[in-house]
Amino acid sequence: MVLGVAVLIVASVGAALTNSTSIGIADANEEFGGNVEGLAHLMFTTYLLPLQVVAALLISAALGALVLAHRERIGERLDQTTLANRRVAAFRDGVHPGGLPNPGVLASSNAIGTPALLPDGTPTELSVPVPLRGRKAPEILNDPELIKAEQAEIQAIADSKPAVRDEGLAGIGGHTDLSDVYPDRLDPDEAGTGETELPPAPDDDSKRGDA
Amino acid sequence: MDPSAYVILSGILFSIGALGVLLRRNAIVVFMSVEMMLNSANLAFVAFARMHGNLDGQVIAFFVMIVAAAEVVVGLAILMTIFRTRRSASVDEPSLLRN
Repeated sequence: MVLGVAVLIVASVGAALTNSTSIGIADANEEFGGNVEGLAHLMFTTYLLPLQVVAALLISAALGALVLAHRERIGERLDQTTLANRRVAAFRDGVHPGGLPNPGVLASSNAIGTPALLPDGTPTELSVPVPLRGRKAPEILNDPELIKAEQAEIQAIADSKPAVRDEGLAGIGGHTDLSDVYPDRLDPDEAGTGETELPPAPDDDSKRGDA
Repeated sequence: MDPSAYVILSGILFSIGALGVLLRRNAIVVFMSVEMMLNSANLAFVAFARMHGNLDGQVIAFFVMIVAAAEVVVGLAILMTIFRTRRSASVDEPSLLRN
């Protein structure tokens, strides 16, 4: 059958093209001053009835698509109260309802890969975008000495005193020694906010006294 | 320029579209093949209009475009409904009316 169709098409095209000379469309365009004008003349005289029928067809097709694609709502509509209750229910299972922390909060850089520091000084992976997680700091996280040094640095910033930076912290991105960058801001004589109270970490209250 | 090459091209495109309709089973691909056949007919219309020196072929190509738009709108809506109930866009599966 495919072969028959192919033969039919080849034969009809060949028959249409034999002994045919191309007249060209320039004369037909010149009759009303241009191609668009000629098309408009034809469309609104000879083909007026087909034009109207096609317009009706297009409108009914659009309406038909609306009717066919419509569907009734399956579940209940999710309004604001429902979503809030759902978040609170998820909080009982440990999913925090609030937004994730921004990168670099309490750190000395807000670069997207710099983890935010919790109030106890430990970096939190929640603030780093998922594709960037685990690139640095996991091995640093587990070292209590470095955590203590970081805490001391954070506390020193909170007390507005120049911090003595631990050598092991040099590898953490974004945590440069602030006394080099902002010598004025970290001047202990000038700063008046020495008693900045750090809120407790949500998951670890025992470190509060250390910091 | 000789427009007969356009007629041959439209024949080739029409053959590809017809083969697609006959051989493919994904309904969306079948729709694309139908559109290809309609557009090859458009190409033939315009080529013949240039050959014969009047504008009727261009007007009819315009109408074919409108009909193709209406066809694809309704066809895709039907396809969406079928996919929603059947989870498949195959044209072989909706044969429940046979029994």
